[in-house]
Amino acid sequence: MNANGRLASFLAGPRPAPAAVFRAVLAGGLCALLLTGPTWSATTATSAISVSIASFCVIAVTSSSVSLAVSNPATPGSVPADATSSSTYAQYSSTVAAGVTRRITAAWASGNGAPTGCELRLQAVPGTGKGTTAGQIILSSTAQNIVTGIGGCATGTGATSGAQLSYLLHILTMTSLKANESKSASITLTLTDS
Amino acid sequence: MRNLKAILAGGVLGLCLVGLSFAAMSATQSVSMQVNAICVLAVTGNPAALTVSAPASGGQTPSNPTGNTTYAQYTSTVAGTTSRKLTVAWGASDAAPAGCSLKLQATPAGGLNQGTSAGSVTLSATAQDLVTAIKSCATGTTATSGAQLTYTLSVDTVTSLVASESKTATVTLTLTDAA
Repeated sequence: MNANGRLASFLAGPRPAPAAVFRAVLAGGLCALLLTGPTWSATTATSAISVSIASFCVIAVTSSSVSLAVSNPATPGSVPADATSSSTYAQYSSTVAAGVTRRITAAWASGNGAPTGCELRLQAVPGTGKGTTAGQIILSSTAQNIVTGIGGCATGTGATSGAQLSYLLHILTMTSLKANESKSASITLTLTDS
Repeated sequence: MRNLKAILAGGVLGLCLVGLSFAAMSATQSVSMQVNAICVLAVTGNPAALTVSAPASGGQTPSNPTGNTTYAQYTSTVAGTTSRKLTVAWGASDAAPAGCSLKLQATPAGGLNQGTSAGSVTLSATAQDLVTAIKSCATGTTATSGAQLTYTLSVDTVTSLVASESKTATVTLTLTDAA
């Protein structure tokens, strides 16, 4: 029997049951899936994900209170030493856009003042890459720079991380001092765009 | 899908708001400042011995030996209108040689608030004012800063002098609140 004869015999032969046809189709489909599967593993798909860095600046201080007291000089007859405190730090995190920097300013509240004959000074000394000190300032109710050139950075949060804050109660006029005079000032440090 | 879009939109909005709120941020510290009451005093040293010696001419009463090379140096802070004073006394058993008395005068340099001399006092075991009206001041600490102390061994009764008699007195200066 040649090929045409075999085909004619197949077509003319008894037809399979419908269930058998369904099973054959299903088997064929699974086979096709298995065969085509390996080709899907190399298929790529893309998804657009937008990622952005928010501009933020946050600042805190390691202690909310500082005490300074003018007390006995080491040698009678001499002017008492300026009272100092360097135990607190300003800690900050900042992200900035290209070409933008931030600064820290300091001011005390309106109505605050130093004891008679004294002035309160502050210097902030940041670590490398965390801005530049603006030197020592005399505190007033007008905001003044204490650190400038702050870019993107995080100072850390350890007890001695950040810009060291050195307060100094400087005696201007010895003869104006008043024993037992005390003052309290609320110092606000602000991290802001330059 | 609709929920996902809503979540993304909310997140982006939140980031924008957070970014805006962080454009400037502040932290505050409370600084307490105090001027303590200060009352400290020192002297630059002990005066040289005061010796009654022979007068220039026979028949004269010997001159009173003096010593003015030492200074009282002090630092003081006072409250309001109050003031301090410098007093002097010697020990209970101290005394000058027979026929003599020991006198002391303190002369402040004249700086503001360093006080006013109370003149010459004859030393005794009872505290007496040397300098009054001392307020907030610092006299300085150089060799000649402060109130100059001038000791004088006064020959009161020449007939009572005893040759070769010597005495040593411990003189105490006190800086204290004025009464």
